[in-house]
Amino acid sequence: MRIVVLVKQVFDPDAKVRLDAAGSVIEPDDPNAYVLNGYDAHAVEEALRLRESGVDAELAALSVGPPRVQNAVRRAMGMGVEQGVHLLGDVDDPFAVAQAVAAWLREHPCDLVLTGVMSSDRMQGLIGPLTAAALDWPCVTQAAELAIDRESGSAIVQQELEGGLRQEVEVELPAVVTVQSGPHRPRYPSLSNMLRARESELVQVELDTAALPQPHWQTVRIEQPQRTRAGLMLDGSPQRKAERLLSLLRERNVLAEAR
Amino acid sequence: MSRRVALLIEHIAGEIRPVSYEMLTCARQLAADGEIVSVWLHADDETPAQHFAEQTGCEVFVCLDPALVDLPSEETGQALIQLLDAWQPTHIMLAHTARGWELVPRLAARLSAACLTNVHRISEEQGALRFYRAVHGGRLEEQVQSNAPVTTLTIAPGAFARPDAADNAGKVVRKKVSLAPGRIQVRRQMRAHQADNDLAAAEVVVTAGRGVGKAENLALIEKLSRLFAKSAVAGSRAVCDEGWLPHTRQVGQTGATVRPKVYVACGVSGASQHIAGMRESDFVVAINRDENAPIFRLADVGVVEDLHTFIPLLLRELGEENE
Repeated sequence: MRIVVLVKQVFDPDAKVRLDAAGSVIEPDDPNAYVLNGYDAHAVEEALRLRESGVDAELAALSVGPPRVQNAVRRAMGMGVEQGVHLLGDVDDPFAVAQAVAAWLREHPCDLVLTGVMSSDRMQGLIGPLTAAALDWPCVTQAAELAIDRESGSAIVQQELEGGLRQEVEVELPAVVTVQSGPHRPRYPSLSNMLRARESELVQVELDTAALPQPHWQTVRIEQPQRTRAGLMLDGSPQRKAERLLSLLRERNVLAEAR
Repeated sequence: MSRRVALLIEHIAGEIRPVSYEMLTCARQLAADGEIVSVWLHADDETPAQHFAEQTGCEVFVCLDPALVDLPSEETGQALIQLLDAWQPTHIMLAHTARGWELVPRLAARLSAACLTNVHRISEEQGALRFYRAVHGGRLEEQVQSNAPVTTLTIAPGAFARPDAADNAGKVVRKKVSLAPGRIQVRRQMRAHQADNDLAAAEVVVTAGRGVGKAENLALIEKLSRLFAKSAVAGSRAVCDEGWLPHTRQVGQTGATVRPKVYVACGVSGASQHIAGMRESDFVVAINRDENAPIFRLADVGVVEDLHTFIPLLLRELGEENE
């Protein structure tokens, strides 16, 4: 079978995001300020695990965006995915990205599309379900575990619900499954894979961005979120902060010594 | 044009989820003087729908069909499209859960609608409606505007208050749909992890986040927890995924919801999924060395310090260092 993992390159979630006066995120020029989306790394890990569990699968990683996103594809290849695909174009709107991905998948059929449950920057979680909608495939979100049932040829997905509940679903292939971060920590790229990834040519397709759908919604601005509580920030030396915190906790009458 | 807001009452095995009531608060704010309808889909039981209509005063469309057991996303989508076709909603609202996430983009694609996920606040100024959602791990908030005639959205659990009980029951209107079989079969639902009882019973919950760094440092969190009379140790999703604590101790949307007198977040960044599980705590203390961590925005008291040096200092201060 053929599995395509959709990967996104995102701002390094550990770096500080800068905003301009209009409330837009300032995009850093430094290519090292961008990384493979952590949730997508989990999706790559699940694809590799499926193959290691005995599923005969060819794996590809696909990303949409400007030239720099190739680094995210190569990171996935470093983890063990053999093919890289780059749909080149400055496309941001999820509907447009999903249309572009769906168009490519129609020409290059596959059995299963995996992607992260969301991107760590925009956090919309739309590309997986919208790609499924564009192809009229079923989509299962928030997968904690994944297996292929060889008899029925369908995927068996442990899907996370709320409050510690899970459900096991069986989904006909082809399908899109979005992967939640879970106990399967994404592996580090191996040196030999990274070297191979660096040397291999990615399949590149230039998108006709004018032909893609126009966005149905827009970001007005991005800001610091509102405070929802008093937010008393303790100041002074660490010692002083500790004293203040203990006195505040004593006031709440929850310390063991107070009884 | 007056707004018409439809919402799907989310349930698991017939039990209405709290977010369904919270969505109604959001819907009322959104609709202003417009119309609201709730939709109840189930295999064979309409009793919870009647209860919802009595409690909230909201009109409920009820549709019972064996295919709708467990609200499978494809059949649920078809049912919503058919039920709401004549009603012509301007906004369709679902909970931000696995199900909502699966279904809402599909509805949006079908209706050429805007699609806004995990909305936690709305505002309106001079007729300009704004939706607010967390981005960049909750460090920042995005304000979004819809440009489409129909807007679909998912609402963050815990973000809106539950409405007061209504004086008059809403109407219950039975509807029929015809559903094509979907391609996703629910085989079984199970409790992956039952939250430990002491989490709910604790007066003080001390939670370890990714900032604890490694499993060995959990000992420090446990020591801190022992300062309190009736306490329990919990973990963020990241900590439980790492296996540093079992998932039975996970606080957040996919774990336990706690409402202690005091919640002490140690090295927890405060992603919206975590906040959903602890926002109703009486008093929140956050200790984190990253002053930009979103947890500080909902803390009553914040300490910007490295917890590995600060917690021992606290312990010493109480003369507990020989424990």
